[in-house]
Amino acid sequence: MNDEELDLRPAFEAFLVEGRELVTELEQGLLRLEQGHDQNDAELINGMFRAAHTIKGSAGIVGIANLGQFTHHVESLLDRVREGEPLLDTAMIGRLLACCDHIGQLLDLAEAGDTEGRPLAAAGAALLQQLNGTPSSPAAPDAAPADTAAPAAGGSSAQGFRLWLSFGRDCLRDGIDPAAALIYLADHVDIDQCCLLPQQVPTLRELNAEDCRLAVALRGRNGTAQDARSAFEFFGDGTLLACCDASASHAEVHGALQGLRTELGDEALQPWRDAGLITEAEWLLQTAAPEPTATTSPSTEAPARAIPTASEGAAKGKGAATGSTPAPRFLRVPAEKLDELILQVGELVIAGASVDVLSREVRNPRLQEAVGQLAQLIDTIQSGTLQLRMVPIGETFNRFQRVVRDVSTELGKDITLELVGGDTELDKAMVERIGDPLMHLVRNAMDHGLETPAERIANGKPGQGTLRLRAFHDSGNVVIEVSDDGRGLNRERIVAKAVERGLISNGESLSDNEAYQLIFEPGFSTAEAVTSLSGRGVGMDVVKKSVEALRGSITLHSHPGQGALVQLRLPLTLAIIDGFMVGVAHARFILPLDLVIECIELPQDALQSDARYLNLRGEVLPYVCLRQTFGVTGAASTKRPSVVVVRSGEIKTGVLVDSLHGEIQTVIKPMSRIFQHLRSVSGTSILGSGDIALILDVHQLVQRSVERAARPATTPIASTLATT
Amino acid sequence: MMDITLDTTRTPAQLRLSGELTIASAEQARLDLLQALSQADGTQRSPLWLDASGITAADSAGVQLLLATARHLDAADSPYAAVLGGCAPALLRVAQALGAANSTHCCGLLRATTAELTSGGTA
Repeated sequence: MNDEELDLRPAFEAFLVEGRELVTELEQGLLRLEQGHDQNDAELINGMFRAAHTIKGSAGIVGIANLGQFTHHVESLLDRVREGEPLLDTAMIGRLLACCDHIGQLLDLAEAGDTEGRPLAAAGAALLQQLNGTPSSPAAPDAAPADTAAPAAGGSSAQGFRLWLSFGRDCLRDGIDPAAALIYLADHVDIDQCCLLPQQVPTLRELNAEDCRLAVALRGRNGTAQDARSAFEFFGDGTLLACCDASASHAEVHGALQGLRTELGDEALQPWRDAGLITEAEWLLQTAAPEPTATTSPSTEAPARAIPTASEGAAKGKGAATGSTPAPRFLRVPAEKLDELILQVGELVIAGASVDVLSREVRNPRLQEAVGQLAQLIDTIQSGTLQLRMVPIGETFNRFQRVVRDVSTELGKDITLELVGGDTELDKAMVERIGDPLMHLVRNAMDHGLETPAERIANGKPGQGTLRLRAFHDSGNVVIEVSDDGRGLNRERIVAKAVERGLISNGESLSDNEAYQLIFEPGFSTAEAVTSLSGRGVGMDVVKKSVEALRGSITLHSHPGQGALVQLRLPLTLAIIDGFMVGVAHARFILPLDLVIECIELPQDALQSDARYLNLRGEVLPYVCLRQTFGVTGAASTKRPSVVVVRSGEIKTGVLVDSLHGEIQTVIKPMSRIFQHLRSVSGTSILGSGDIALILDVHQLVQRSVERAARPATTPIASTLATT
Repeated sequence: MMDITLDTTRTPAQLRLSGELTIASAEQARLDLLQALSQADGTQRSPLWLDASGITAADSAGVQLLLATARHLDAADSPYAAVLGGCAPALLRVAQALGAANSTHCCGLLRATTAELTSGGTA
């Protein structure tokens, strides 16, 4: 018994994952129907039915009986819908959505170890009562479990067949025994006649005892040609097989036998003719002479029945997939394996970089060419593996359909959800961690941002409010926006509250953005009434922390009376960076390559000591001095400093450095937790030479320099760290 | 492994097969059979009683071997005319599946009549 339990564990865990996906699919379908999707869409209804069906079946297999039983009722109802009963009115959809929740809860219980689900039994029963109305369904369940498809044996129409075989010479050596297959066949169908060709076996002196020289023909009283063929699936190409249903025409049989006749010779098959396993009409097929069972379709039939070898027989004649495009195949891979692989690829990139460095010193053109090819291949593998971790954010976005629906109903508001850019991809780990912060922002917007229909109409807005989730890629980041067309943020109230809570003395010198950022202070909340959803003030600071833990940033924008926008900016790649390396004295820094616009070499006197601005072809370019920012000591390695112009969003900034070192592709080693407050550095990297380079977070760098420019004191980041 | 013993002291001579008649030992058995059957005692087509009741396991290779033996013994210059006296169930089952057994023959060999069987084929 123990062994059985152990065997089921992986299946159980796989089911928990699959079950949740199926419930989501079911839920999505229901929401679409509710939103007005065509109720007669057979594909949608079928998909929903299959989802319920699979949950029911699999739950039974892995031992969560109550889940199976519960879902069975959902499945039955969907089956009736499938058959055309118009059952899905708004009320029923609501009930079914509640059932989806219930299934999710049962899955949670099962995951925690409770496969009986007793705590939820009463709720489940209540749901089912609502679902079924009258308790008329019990009749159905008894029929349902008998789904297990027993193998063909006897199931199909009992017509009969004839089978002629010449076994491949090597089949005994390959470990396949014709007698075993024939005995198997005889167990499943009734064999009337069986006839061997004894002359095919050489005499004792000439025989190679390990060859197989057996040829057998037989007639089955029931079963089909298909059943017969399947018994010989494993015989290789050397075995010739011809098989016809009892109803086959003379021409079909004639055609089917051609291969054997050619292979063995006509005389060899005489015993089969004598035994009646081949009729004269089938043997001779006089097309000239009219036959009573005349074949109206002569030769076109024959090739179709022409000897399929066992390997072809394995193709099962179910016909190639007619019409339907092959569904994309997926593989379930443990995330740890993928992480391990990406780590190894990272090491590969580093090792490749070392080889590259050394090969340049050797100056062997053939070596360099080979190394160049190697680098290309590594590049391809790297892109490929990173792609594996990327998932579209649309899956996460879709979950919000349900949330928005439920909450807007609860709040008595009319809110529609708009999703843009669902196919934007980001790292799987990030998708998982961004879900909760997004959820809070969405609820916030619905609770505080969007007004009731009455209020909206009174303000000249449409009664229905819009909540928009948008995702897109921008300069090496993934940007996710949560916006609404509600009240917007009230700056005065925010400042007043902050003053009240002693966070600031007065808000006059604050920019709008800084004022809004006060929302993220712990314990801050301007809500007059703490609702069950939000307003307790524990939400926004947690959101900010979560986003920053992902090395992202969060900004707020607002137009009073028109709406608000929360923008999350997250890094795209976590593991490997295409960078541009720069140097200050002996220190090395890396800038993300796609943020680099250009490099300018400056004459020494171009820098005014305190100005932090450059004239770039008539454009004012603020710049950051890396030496000062990081407090680097050591003589400049070149006489002429350079400025690298980088971009962060729409803002351009210059980065003043001593030296430029060109493009480099390298693995990002994340900083350990000690450095988590370190702004402007997003990671480190080991160079081919063994030295360490700091990877700069351009956005942070730019932010800080912009903020610092607004304030007189310019303390280097390094010393700021000491006090934090 | 197969055991093949020819006892020419009796009349008819007895060829006893025992053990496993399968692919594993088929080639060796073939050589042993050839050797045993070449020990002719001069007379053409003297009766030979083939006793296969001691066969413990059989497969297609085994049935094929017996078929080859039957062809060998059917040859015009064969020293023996053989009859299959005893046939183990294991062998019979495989032979039937392959269509090599009916009421008169098994593996190409003539089956002993009931009378012959009850008399044990011994003289």
